[in-house]
Amino acid sequence: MTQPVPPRTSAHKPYLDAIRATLQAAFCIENFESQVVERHNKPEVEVKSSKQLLLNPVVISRNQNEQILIEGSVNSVRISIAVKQADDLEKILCKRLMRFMMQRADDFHILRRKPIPGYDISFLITNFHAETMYKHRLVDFIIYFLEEIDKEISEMKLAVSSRARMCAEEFLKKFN
Amino acid sequence: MSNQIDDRDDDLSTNVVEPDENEWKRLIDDMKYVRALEYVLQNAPVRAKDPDKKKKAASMALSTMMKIKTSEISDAVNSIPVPLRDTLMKYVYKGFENPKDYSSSALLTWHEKVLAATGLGSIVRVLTDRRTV
Repeated sequence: MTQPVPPRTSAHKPYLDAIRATLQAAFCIENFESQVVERHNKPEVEVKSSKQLLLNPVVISRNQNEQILIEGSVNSVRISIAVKQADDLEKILCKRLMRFMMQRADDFHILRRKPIPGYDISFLITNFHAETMYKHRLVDFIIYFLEEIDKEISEMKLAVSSRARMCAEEFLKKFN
Repeated sequence: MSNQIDDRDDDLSTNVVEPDENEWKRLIDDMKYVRALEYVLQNAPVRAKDPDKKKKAASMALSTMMKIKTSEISDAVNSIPVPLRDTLMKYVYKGFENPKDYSSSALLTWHEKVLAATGLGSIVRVLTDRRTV
């Protein structure tokens, strides 16, 4: 059995609980072939071929800067995340990190190559993913991703400032 | 391609329902916040097509929810009759769309308490119900 996701208690537990519950509700997806083109099977949340196949999109926000958009449909769910970016350095780091991941979206399977406008990263999970992967583990993964992204960006920010400090020290030693 | 069953409103008498602002204000001034919330939920314009009507009702509902203290939220949810709790959940999600105007942390508390009272079914109904708030 694969390694279980380590449970982490964070100060933002109500936010993550709300997201978990909403994802569990939105993840009722099943195979649905395209009604427009024969022999095609497209994620309806992307194609939006018919209003009957789409669920109401729902937003959950922690504050003004952080929110998550969940759009469901009969055979796919699209989850878009707006990550907290407090200053310019965090903005650059976030953009770089997201771009790094999105360029490797093929290996990621559930990642979307382009984020929805207004958000930093988007996941597209189809019924085929739900058939090969456990739904509750997919939900766990999204929650884990949300927790880790903030930590990674702050770690990178610290790394940048400590590297800058060391470089400056070494450089200015010459002039001592 | 619209589904004709969706367009036909089976309950025509409740078609033009919306909460009366004066009635609501009276209840707010009397500090009967839970009663005011119940009133707005009862008369929520779920079948209306006019976005302004919906916005007005949403601002009434959400400002009432913000006035209720965090410790009183679970009592408030339990006193709201069961059929109206779905509409309450719809307003919670509506409030999340405007984090500038409505405190997200209070809304998260509301979400938690309504979820505890109704279960995942209310979220499923928020996602699928055509009668949006």
